[in-house]
Amino acid sequence: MKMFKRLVATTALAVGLTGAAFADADSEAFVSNNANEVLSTLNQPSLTDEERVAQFANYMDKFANMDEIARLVLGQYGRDLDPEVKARYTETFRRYALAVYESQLDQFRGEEIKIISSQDRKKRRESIVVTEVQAADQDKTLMVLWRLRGEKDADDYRVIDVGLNLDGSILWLMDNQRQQFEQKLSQSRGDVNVIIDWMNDWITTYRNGGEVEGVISDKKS
Amino acid sequence: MRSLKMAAVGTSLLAASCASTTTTARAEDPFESVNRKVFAFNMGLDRIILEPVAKGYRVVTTDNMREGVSNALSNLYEPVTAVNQVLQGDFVDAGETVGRFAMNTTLGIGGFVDTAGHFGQERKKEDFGQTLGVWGVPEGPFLVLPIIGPSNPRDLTGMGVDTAFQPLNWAQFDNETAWLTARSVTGAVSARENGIEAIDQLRTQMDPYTAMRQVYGKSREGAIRNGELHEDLFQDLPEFNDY
Repeated sequence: MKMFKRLVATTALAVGLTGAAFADADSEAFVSNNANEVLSTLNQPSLTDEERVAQFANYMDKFANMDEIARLVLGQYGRDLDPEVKARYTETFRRYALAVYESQLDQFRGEEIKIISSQDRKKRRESIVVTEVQAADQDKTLMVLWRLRGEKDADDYRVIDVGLNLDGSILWLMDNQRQQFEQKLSQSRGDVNVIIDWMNDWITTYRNGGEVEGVISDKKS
Repeated sequence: MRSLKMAAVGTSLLAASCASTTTTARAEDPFESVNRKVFAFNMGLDRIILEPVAKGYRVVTTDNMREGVSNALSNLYEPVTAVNQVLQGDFVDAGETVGRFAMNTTLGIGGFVDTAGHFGQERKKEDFGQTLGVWGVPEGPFLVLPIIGPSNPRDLTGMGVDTAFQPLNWAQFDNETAWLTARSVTGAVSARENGIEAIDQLRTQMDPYTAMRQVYGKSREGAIRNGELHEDLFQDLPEFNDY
């Protein structure tokens, strides 16, 4: 009996360890394949602006769970939201996030993402993959961390948040955006329309190559 | 100047404009209402003075010239770094910093050329705020100071002590006031030029103040750990159910 217990314990430990290792390898492969595909999309001169934006959106939908990111960013303010406002918010957030990712990832177009390491969260299908990428026209390497979550009823992962290494401290973009939304909503008594209007203005300005400071505009790129 | 440096550190991949006032107090920012007013003042001042000067500086100088100026300014800070490394118990690093300073001041023509860097001796920067952090002193409430920018009582104390650690501040020579003023002005312009893109990005945020506060805190945490990522990458990251 004692021997049987030991066998069960050893097997469980082995399965546990192997499971964790596989999870890491899976999440690393997921980031490597998809992130590189997304970056190469931005580096296709043969595509028109419209085609490039459409293809980028298509890849990003596979890579990142935009609806879930939209929900998490809104936090408590999204819980009792009118379904019509919620649908409008989610759709606007998706367009906004795509424009933001597009403008920011542009500096890495055509570059390869290099996987450094990964880590799983205990008892969760959640993983953080640490990568490095070189900016195309600068002598600059940036460490980018991808927070992944396992999809429900599927083996796949999708990105929920992106972190930047600030010399040893990680700035999580979704978390940062959530704090800013929270601030705006606390000022507007939770009126999500304020956020929707702001994002729409931002997208319009960006797509028209206008005054979105510091961001490579769509028309200029 | 410190605000500009800090804002420059990490806002570069964030997106989105307008400083606002709020009364929502966070535990780490009990003076938020006042801080926001000072932040708006600093941003306004930056817009009319520092930003145009920094952009003009970029136009009239080459990359190499700006790098040389930045190197020379960093070189002047090396004695402060060395003292702080000793206070943090990093004696090997302190020795390397002294070596760097000697090499760059002589072979590097007063620090304009980072000769030691070419030999693989990477520059490290330590200040007394970091030293206090290493000693376990808590940072205290978030502060935004006129001109100086984001800080906290720990970093503010550090700034004062670092001024005392700077040998140049004790040296007596002809026209020392003019020289020290020139050094400070050049430092501010150089740092602002270095942060042009990052501060432009900060201005496009939905709430630049919130973005800046978070970036400042994270940057200082990272500096205290000498750039080493925490072993647990999930540290401080909420579970999804907690959002």
